[in-house]
Amino acid sequence: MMKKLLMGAVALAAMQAVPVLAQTGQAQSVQIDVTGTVGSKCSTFSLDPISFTAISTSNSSGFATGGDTSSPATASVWCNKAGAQVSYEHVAMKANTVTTSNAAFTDTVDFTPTVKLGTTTIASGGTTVGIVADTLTVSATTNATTAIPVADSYTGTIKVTLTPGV
Amino acid sequence: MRVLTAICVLFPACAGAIPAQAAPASATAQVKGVIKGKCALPSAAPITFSTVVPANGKLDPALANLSWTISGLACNAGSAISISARSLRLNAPRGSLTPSQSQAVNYTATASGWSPGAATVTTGDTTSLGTTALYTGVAQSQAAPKSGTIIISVSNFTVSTNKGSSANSAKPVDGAYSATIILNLAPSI
Repeated sequence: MMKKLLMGAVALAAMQAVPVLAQTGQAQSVQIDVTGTVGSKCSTFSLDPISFTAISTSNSSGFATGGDTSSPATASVWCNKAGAQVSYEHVAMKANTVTTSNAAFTDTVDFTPTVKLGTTTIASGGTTVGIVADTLTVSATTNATTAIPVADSYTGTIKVTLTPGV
Repeated sequence: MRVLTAICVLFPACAGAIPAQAAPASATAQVKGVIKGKCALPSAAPITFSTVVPANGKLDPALANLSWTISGLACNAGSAISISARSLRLNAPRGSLTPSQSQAVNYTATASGWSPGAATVTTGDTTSLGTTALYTGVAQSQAAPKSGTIIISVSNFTVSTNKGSSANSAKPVDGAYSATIILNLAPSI
């Protein structure tokens, strides 16, 4: 086997050694294959703050009643490969200045985020969106509390992640 | 894939053949909200207390021991407490009285247990006929968010009389009397 291969190689070398003479008036063409690769990627994006105009509290118990809806934040995003995922996580709102050790009160108001890409509702653990270019919409709804939230301004976060398809 | 990687190690020029996967892209939206100062009261109804003055014109001494406990109060911020009261007055007030008669009794109402200093008010009727005026005491402050109980008590019952020597010893006319006390609790922010 090896011997045959070597003989072939010698023959090929001999052929290439023969000079090729160009003939006048004969068209010559060479095809060059151009190849490239586009990587799997999702767009970078940013989200404006969202806010609750008022967090409702009960007149009798003082607890947050829940069900208040925030303003939305939107961003145009894309991912260019099947398998791309959108996921999110959130941190509950915490009072910015007041702290309390009184068990009747709380300095935390949690909320339920709603993340949509176009009309697809995203699960917090991640939803596969694939090749997509659409509007990401992030909003939140307050949860009820079982203690009285102290009067203050509150801040929390929702972090949305686009993971490119593998 | 392993074969492709091995080949590309040998021939670096072909590295571009492996599609690159970019890092995940993230953005964080701040979520903002405001909880306004608020006080929760189990009932907004005023306290009404009544007594019946007998023919001898003597007030029931048990009035001075009356108290009411209001529980389930909570303010999520510092708060101001004040108490308002109307005099103890004949339920069906008369239009005129003899100089020795009166149909109004002043008293002091006290709300304790909330602010460091109790909130009090003393009704200030100055005629034997009395009025339906609502008297409001000076507000007391509680600096911290607080939940708890307020005790309202009444004391210092004094018959309201016209000025003049003949009226100084006026006694309440007999009949049913009632008075109203209103507790005011408001967030300070």
